[in-house]
Amino acid sequence: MTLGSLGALPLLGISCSAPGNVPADLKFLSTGEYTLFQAIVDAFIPSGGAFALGAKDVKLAQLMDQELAKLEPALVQGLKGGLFFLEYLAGPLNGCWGRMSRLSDEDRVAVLAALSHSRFALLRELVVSLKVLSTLTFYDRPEVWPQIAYDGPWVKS
Amino acid sequence: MIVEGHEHTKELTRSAHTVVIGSGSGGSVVAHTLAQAGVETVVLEEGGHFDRGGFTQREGEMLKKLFRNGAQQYTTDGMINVLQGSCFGGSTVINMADCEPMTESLLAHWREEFLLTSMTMDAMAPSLERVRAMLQVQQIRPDQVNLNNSLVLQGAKKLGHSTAVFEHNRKGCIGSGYCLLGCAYDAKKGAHLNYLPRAIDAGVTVYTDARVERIEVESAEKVFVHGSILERGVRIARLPFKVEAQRVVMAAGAAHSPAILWASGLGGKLPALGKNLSLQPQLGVIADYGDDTAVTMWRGIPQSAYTTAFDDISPEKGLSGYRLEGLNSGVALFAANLPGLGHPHKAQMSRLKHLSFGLVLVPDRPSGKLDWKQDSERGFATEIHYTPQTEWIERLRKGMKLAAEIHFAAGAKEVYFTAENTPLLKSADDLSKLDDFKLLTGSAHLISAHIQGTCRMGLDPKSSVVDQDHRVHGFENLYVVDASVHPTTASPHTMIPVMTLADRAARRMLDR
Repeated sequence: MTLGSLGALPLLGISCSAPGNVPADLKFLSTGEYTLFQAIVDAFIPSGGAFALGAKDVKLAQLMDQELAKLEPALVQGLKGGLFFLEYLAGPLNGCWGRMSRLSDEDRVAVLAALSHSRFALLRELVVSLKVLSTLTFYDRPEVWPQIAYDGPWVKS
Repeated sequence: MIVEGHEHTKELTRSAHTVVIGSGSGGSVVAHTLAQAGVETVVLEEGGHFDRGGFTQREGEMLKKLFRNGAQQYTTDGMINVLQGSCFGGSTVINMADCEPMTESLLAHWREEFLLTSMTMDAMAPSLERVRAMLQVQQIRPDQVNLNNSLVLQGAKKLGHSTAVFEHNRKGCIGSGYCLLGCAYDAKKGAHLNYLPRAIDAGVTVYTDARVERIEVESAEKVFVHGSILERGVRIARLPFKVEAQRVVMAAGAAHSPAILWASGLGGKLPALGKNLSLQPQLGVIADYGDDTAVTMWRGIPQSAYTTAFDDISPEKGLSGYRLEGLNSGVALFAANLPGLGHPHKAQMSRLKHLSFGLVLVPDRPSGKLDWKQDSERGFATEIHYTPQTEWIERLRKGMKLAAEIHFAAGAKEVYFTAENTPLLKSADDLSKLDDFKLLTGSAHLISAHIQGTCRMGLDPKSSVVDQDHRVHGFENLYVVDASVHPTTASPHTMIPVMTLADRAARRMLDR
């Protein structure tokens, strides 16, 4: 999936909901967007379960903020509109009242899972696009590799 | 000589007899062939120049550096990831080194359906031979087939299906498994190691980080090529350039060559521009072989084995059928295409060592088109519109069943596919679950590494863009020499066909 395919989504801002955990040097996301983004990537790749590390253990949201800032503008067009939809509308449309960033972990996963199987293609694309980018970044981290028995590149940088 | 983007301190203006736009499988061969004949040639390459020391085997870094749009080029519906190299050497740097030439049946199809009478094996043979020699094409040895690919051979053999092992353009391969990210050992003999260095030795200048935005055909003897020197990485325009030439050869690939022609205002004269798009999409198959089998798919030659039993090629239909090919795509890319999210996704990744991966490859008939819109930064943005045909989806289902049957025959415990709505198959008895599989946008993760057809070769300017000599209809000095000229998909793996046609095209230019 591609973030570019989300270009039809409007560019709207997300108000800050929990500034306490937000890094001061964000490169691409606003404070409010970061809070939501972090909640979503934690849902995609939670800590514990089959192996210990999850998104928050490698500061994935922060890493992705920096990576998104380096992408060609056309590629991230629509991302902010997509985040706005997820924050304010995705929960209520799936039976969970409240902003996505404030849902319980369980409810957030349930909403994202429901969206990934939505009858609306754009909603499926939105969730799967974010999942693709999140997992691509997470599993490129050397600290994750031992957890999945991947011995990593032969070239050592 | 190679001139990289950061070396420019002011606007570039220069002239040459021939400008080649793109340094991949088409452009490198043309530049080399013309330069060897003494033609002053300049190559303009949008991507950067990297060598073995720069290939770090890290997906996050190399996908951004070596691929068009950082490997994030998709069809407009988001379903198909269209992968193309965008660097010095183009896709020959990042491909799987599979060497499959065009066949006589395919050329017969082109002759019969598109009246391309010069497309014969006899005409192609000298070019094919030169390409094979330059790339050092050879058979992959049995000991180089890793377990991930060997499982395809084993399962197919038990079912009585014929298979084959690819020829490839590697020499001295140590089996690290990172072909997709550029070979850090120079074992994969891409154009950056043969055609381009030899072209440079013969006097060619290659400008990297140089994006062509439009061409201006002033007369049959004069063309201006306009573009921007880019800041590498973000690809933001830094300085303009203008190159004057007597001849321009477009070899920027099947997404970008037609885009430049459109941005140059030639769309009105070329009604077939951007149409007849083939993508030959592929769907991933994952097989879990259980705790007792360590597949370790990421080591060894990533793609070496494939089925031939259901390949179908004929003068009537061209390339059709379906096949299963083994593949290692890289661990992070694999994770990104794995279905599910949260703990179930992690649970699958924790089984990585026991998983086998492959692709169901289904050749298509032209089923899409390119479109363009104005873009403030690049001047234009390309949209890839593609709708799989019902008949293609039926063959995809057959290919999915074949893949599952083969893996179960080889001992897999579970099989599933790179789609969010994939059924989980526990045995060959579950194959009927695939009858109801729906190919949904935003759900299926398809890839295409073989975009073709958008400047189709043909006789009629209303239904094609170039003639049999690769000349753009109506222009004496404008050529297209890349996969966009293929009237239909040329091969399951297009590097050798593109290079063969490029060798032939360059010699036809010299003969004029």
